[in-house]
Amino acid sequence: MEQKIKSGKEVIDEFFSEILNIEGVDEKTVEMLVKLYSDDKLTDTNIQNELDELKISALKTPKEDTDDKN
Amino acid sequence: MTKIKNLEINGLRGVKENLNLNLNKKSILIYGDNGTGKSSLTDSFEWFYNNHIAHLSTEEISGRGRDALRNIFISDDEDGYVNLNFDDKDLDAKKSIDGSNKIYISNNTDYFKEYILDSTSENLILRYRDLVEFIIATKTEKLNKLQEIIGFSEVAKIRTILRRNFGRIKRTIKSSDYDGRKSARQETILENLGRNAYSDEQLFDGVNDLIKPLKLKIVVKSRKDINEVIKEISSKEDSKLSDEINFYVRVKEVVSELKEISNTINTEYSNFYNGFQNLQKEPEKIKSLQLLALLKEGKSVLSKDVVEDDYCPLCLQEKSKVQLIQLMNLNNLQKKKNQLMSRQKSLRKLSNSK
Repeated sequence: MEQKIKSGKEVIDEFFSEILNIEGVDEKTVEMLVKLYSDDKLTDTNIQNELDELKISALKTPKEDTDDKN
Repeated sequence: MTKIKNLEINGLRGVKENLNLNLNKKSILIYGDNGTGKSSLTDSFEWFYNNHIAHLSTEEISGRGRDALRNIFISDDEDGYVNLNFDDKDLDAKKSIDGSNKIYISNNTDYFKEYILDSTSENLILRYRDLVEFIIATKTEKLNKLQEIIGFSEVAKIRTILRRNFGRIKRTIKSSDYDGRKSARQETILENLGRNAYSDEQLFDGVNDLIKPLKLKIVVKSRKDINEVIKEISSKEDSKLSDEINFYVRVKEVVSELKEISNTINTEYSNFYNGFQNLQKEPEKIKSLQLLALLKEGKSVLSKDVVEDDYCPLCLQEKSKVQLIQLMNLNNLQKKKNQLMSRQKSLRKLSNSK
């Protein structure tokens, strides 16, 4: 009967430690989410700002140094 | 599990003189007529653990309900207090409030503080009103409440944040029409290379075939090489012509985006128009909205327990409090209001974009 029930925090911690293993996830996005969570800053605004940053840096550095000159 | 051995209350709420209950680590059920002091007991208990009494923390009573905590018949130099003895002696504590509403706790150990913190997160107090509200709540509200009780509200909060952002990203992708842009670029590739290119390798093969007649001594194996080729040929070409070609390619892309945007506007406008037509058919809805503010005020009065007896705070007629709370369940009305607000927003968006 004495069975260990996970607390809310344990469930979230587990989720964030395993999220990178989910197939098809974007590594940088996941790292960003994990970092925000561990810094206790996982809010809508912060996620939005970080996603914008990721988008900008992805546009700046495509696969190899090509660029859209148009 | 920690159990209470003895409970002693003095000079708090309706308890003027010493009330001593020897629980001996057992559960108890207390019943009695109105005004016999059942709530005084639970209020004192709630104050001990939560440092405030939720139903007394209203605008009318300052100090988070503290002003209504001391029994009004005790003298100013007498303290009101709760004294709890547990099966774990290290947790024994007496919490007092003096005549100037200053609070003292006899146990200041970290162990006790941790125990109080853990107890607070376990929602020890369940009031009759909470129970009634839970029974008449919607499924989502029930789920939220249960998550709160079992300490899963943080999970729900994070899930909501992630879901909301997922939805936002999905909408951004849709509204940016990446598919449309992709197919426009694919078309340009097809037009220029004479074949489709779904991978870098296919693109490089196409480019190599295309530049073969130019005899450039460059074999394209990477995107960098494409830049080299562009550099090489741009010096030999009429740059004005090249700019014009680029300009028309860009125009083509923008036109394809515009097509998608105008489709979105059409859909939004037709949703708004249909919503407006429906609203016109139901003038009752508008009347209900006008009553919303009044009903909300009534609900707030009821939920704060300002009215203690069974009568309606708006018309002062005799009504059962439970029935009133049920009647005041404004969820459906609120939903309708939200729908109307979102239609109004769409209209504003449309008129702004014009």
